Amino acid sequence: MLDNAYHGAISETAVRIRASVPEDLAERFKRTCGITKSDFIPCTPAPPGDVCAVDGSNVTLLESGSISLAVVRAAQTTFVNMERSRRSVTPMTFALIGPEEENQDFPVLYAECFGHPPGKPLANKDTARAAGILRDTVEYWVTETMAKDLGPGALLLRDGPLRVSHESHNPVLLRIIHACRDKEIGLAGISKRSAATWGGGYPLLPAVFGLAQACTIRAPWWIRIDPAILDHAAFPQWQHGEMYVACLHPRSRGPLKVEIPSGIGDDSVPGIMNRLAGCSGDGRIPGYPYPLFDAHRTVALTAEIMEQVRGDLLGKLAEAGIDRQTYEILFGDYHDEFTRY
Amino acid sequence: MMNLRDTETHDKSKYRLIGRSVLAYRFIAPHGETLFIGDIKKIVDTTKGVTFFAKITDLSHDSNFADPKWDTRAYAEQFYGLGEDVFITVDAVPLGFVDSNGRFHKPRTIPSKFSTVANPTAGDFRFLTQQMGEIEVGFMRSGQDIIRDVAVRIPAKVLPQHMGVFATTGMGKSNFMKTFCASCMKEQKFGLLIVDPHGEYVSGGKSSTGDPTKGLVHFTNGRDGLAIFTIRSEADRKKYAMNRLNLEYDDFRISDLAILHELSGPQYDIVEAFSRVSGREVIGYFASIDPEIFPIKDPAALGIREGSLSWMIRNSMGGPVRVIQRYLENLVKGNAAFFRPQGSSVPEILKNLHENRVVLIDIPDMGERSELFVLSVITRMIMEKHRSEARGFGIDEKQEAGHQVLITIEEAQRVLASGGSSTQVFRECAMEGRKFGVGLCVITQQPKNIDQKVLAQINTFVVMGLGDRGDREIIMGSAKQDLSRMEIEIQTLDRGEAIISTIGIPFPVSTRIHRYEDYVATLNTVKKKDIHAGLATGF
Repeated sequence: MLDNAYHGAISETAVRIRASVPEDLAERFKRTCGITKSDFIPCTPAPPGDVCAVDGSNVTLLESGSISLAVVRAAQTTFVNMERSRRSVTPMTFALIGPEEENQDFPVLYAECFGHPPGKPLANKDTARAAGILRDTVEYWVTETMAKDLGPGALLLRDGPLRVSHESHNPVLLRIIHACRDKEIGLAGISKRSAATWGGGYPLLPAVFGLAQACTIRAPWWIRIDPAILDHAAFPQWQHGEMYVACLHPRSRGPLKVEIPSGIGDDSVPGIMNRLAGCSGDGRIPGYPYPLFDAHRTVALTAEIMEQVRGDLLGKLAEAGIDRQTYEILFGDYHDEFTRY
Repeated sequence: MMNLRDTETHDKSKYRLIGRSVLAYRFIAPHGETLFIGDIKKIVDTTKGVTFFAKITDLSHDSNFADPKWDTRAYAEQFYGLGEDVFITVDAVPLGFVDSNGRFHKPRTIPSKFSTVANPTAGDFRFLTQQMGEIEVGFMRSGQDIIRDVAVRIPAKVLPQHMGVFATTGMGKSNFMKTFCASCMKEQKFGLLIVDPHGEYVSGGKSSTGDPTKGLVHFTNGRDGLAIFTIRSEADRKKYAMNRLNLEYDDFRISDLAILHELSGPQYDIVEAFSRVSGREVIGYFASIDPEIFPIKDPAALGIREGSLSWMIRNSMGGPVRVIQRYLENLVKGNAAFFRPQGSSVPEILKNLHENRVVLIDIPDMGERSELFVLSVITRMIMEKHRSEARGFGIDEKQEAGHQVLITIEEAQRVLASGGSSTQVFRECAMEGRKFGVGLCVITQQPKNIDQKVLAQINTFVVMGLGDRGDREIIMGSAKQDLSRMEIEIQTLDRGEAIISTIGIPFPVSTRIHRYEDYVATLNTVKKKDIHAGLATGF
């Protein structure tokens, strides 16, 4: 009986997912959006020149019912023709999320990064979102710093879209875009996944990829996505990039969503795409720009790092008079106990 | 103010010790580094103030990636930035360490974690140079490099404790032996006996690769350390100042037949019966006897008196007597070039050996049986002589033998294989020889066919290329120093390369054996001592 219910639930889930990705997804996409083979532009991988990639990382180190401790940092790696010339990270920043409604560390961190308080406070209600915004804050600071540092003609890659998730980041992203435009730096936001849908809920990336396969288009290629074909997007005023989908290597696992600042001119896009293809040939992750992979590896707050930080914090808490039992009551996770059995 | 801190670009993870035990060192090196099995590295332990030495025994590719199959399922040919995370893991076996006073010690401690691994300089090996012996055979080797400042010299004092030279054909065995001979001629620290049935040692010939080679006579500066006994013509003898080789019948014992032939039980009974009878008597007897009279049922009827030779073997059947007779006839005829009723070179050979010369018995075109015959006769006589010398010492006198002799046995598995009692003289030499100052230089391509008990007596191992795994395992199990971690190096030894393990040198030394022709050319350029030097003080 139980087995039947379980298998029934699994089957129903599979049917629902299948409904959003139907067998004829590519055909429907072609029919609905009017995309043809000629809309796919072939890439010619080009020497990438100076490429800088920026990424951020956040981890919730401790969590109690009322308070969470987030650790955030961001990093950049810069390559000159695929030889790393420099990489750097921000210090690990600790931020408490709660117990107040508004985050107390956000204005401090923001001011530390940009020299003035944020235009809007950060709510602590959604811990994961709050931690993400804190990470974005240092990540945008690194991106802006690198936009100032890089020479003309460089390519600045950001892990994620050119769309902010918090209003206070909007002027920062605009400054970055303007700085890049002024210095003729190519700016691109690369996303491995996309929430973008069309036709009332069909996912964009598998539809584009399926259509390219149906048209027997060999990667690398890219295609511009007309915003008109997409379903409703939240906070369009925070969106500063034009959307492209690109498959950057024949052995790529799938396409990436690439956002390039609006209004930079169509002539610049092929050059950026060709340079992206030129740095996406690494045998470990073909189709993904290697500088972004390197930035991710540089910034990642791994379990080993977090274990070290947790140990250091425990020591300081003990010095501050919080004994182990109080710590366990505050932050102890019964799941840690459960996993022992 | 937020800041960006540059991550250090200098990679500190390479060339620092990460090994975990006293007997196994490990470090990592850049993935593109050229390293070789056998490379010697020094590990500088600044904490303890000592320098460790280790030899690379294995190299393997490794990475920091969580996916152990990242390299087998690569999706494209291009890789960026591999240098930090992809590397060569280097396993090394410790050789020992040198303390702040320059004294070498066995590796009984472990270097501090993350001690720096570096290439040693010639100066680092000064301690080793001091511990080397006298008989130079080559230069020390570190991987592919030759360290010309460190000559490998085997201590002469350990050689009577037997030496083994193990190599397959074409690995430079003959070159090693000639180089060894040249150093023995130069140093004259002990007597060395070589029986050469191919006539190569005297004036050279052709190597196994077909190249012309030189002989011992070409080492003109060392000629005083060489005595040659040959069966060559008088003209040749005069040309190279060689002695005529003669063995007389009395040098022979009937037991020598057991080395040359597989004897049956009845045949062996005859040999046993005549074991104390002189060679001349035995040869004369069998030359005159009619085997058909055996077995002798009525000795008196045939006029055979009690105690006579016929009486001693009266119960033997005619067949075994006939076979022994034929063997002896062949022995006498086959070795007529040097085997005769009277007149023996053996006393002269012994004299030269005891004067610490290299004695070369040159019997070209004489074949294997003649070689073994000469070798067994001389070996037996050396043993008898040394035994009698030892017996001459009183109970409180120094028991160590005054004369040191090393006897070379080529293709030693012929006479030192396990189970053979017929080769008693060589076995005695292997088991007891060192007590009387007699050592064996066992040369073989098949160490696994040498009696384990004999191998256990050998203290100096010269291991050249051995392709057979069984042979390598036997050698690794028998050497006095641990060679087990050096199997890959032994397996990959090139022609002219050797690993020398001896109790005189603190660890097994990889050696590039001198090319004989080059070595003697160098030695010949050294100015000889003036014949008058020392006269003023000598008389």
